Amino acid sequence: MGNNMNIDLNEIDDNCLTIAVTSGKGGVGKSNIVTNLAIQFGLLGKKVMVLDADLGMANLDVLFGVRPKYTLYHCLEGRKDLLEVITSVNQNVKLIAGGSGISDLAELDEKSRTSFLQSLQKIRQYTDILIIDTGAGISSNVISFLSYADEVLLVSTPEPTSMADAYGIIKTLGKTGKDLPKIGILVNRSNTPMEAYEVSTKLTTLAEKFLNLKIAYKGYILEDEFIQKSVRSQRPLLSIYPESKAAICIRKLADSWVNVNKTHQPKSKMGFFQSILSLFSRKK
Amino acid sequence: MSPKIIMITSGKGGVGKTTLSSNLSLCLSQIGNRVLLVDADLGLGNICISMGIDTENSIEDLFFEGKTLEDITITYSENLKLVPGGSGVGSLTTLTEAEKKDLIESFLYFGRNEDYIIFDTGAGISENVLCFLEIAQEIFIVTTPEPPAMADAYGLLKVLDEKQNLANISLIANRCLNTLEARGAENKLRLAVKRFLNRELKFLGYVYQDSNVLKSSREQKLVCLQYPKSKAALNLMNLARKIHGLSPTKGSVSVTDRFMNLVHG
Repeated sequence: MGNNMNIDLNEIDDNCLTIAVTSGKGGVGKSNIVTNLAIQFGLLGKKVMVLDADLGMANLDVLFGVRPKYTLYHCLEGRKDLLEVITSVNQNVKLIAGGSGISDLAELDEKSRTSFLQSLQKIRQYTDILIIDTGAGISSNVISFLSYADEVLLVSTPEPTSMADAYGIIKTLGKTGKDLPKIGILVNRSNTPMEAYEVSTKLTTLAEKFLNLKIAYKGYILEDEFIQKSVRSQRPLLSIYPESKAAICIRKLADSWVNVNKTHQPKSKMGFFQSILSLFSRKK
Repeated sequence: MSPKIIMITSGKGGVGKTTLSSNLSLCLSQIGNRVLLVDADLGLGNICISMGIDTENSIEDLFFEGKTLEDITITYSENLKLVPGGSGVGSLTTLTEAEKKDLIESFLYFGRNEDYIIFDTGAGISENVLCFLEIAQEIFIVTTPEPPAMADAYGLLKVLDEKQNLANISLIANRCLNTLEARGAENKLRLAVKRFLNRELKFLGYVYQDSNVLKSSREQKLVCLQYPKSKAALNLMNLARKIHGLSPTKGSVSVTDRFMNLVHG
């Protein structure tokens, strides 16, 4: 079971790669991908922090099978510091669990907002990879987290509704017009690699043609009944079915990511502060 | 007679909310009701895509093109009309209170002659979902038996309990492998609601996991039209009949289910 841990603040080294995982449509496998990607990055020796940013409806703790004592909610409420709400999943993987069943997260005062910023900055300093699981949809919270990340992993299934919503995300993100993160498409629940490639081509072609945006193809995860089994048993797929089809796909994705990003240069911190500041300062 | 106003929502996304809203609307219309289905997922609505309707119309036309609800509404069949949502329209997710109120008022006025107005909202507990609460006479919360979906369903119930009482809320369990699993999900949530919120939770019914649903979704057709004899389609028709106060169709309830109903009431 997870324990809240203390962090040595003397270690300072911000080379943190921030990946925001999003999907537009809910239920396409976003949180499962976050969970297993984090496990694999951890196995590759990376220090991984997972931020469950699905404010109000967070459940990564359920998928990791940990029971956090405190969540982001306690932090945003000002009762705990962000450093105090970290739950340890294993030696390399830590989780900032979100709160569940909370509707008033948007109403933060200036003080807790500033302390959230400072704390996240501290966390980045000794994290190799920060993975943010956003909620579904295109609320301002989601879009702010996306614009803050270095890379956006956009998850879609081959279903027409999921593809339409993924395109909706690209469209909305494009409209912000800011220093956009790299956007990559991951096709989940694909029957064949060919099907995934076609889904990705449709989306990248549309984005290029109508929005003039370059989108990369990150890969695919094959449809696999073991995912459902792992969710029901509340253990990550990579931990209990490491040789399943989907697990192999996720490993491949994580491995290539780590290899490509050996020389990662994070976005400027100015952008980081601005996007986080705008995150909670929106009026209802 | 004024229409009955139903809101269909869920804690977690992707549990089948839109599948349920569109198919229940179709079934209600097939048993002789006039139905207005509103895609109330203002940011990322996709009922039209799931029903295979190719339209340029979007709810944002009301705000930016000066169109009326009449202009953008799609007549799907004689008894079923549909108001499309927006897709990738970030600005619609930040409507002011007054704009939302106006929008809801206009839906109600537009659908005043229908038998049912059904609002399919986005998932979660955003303000855009909560603003439909006040006008809904019946609220259906969709979940699957998977732990994350159940956790979010409970999270939503907790929030709803703070806003109003749970008396007009019922649960629908979707994608159940069997009756036992459906009953298990129902009991878990009912117990949690009883124990922590001290309320009774109503249960409308369940829909079986059925590959025909995914198949029809990829074909952009409603499962109740495309595969009306499939398990899920029969469940959906029975749910619609129950909403309308009718008993299930003959032969559509299996022997096990009848036995379980006898045992559990």
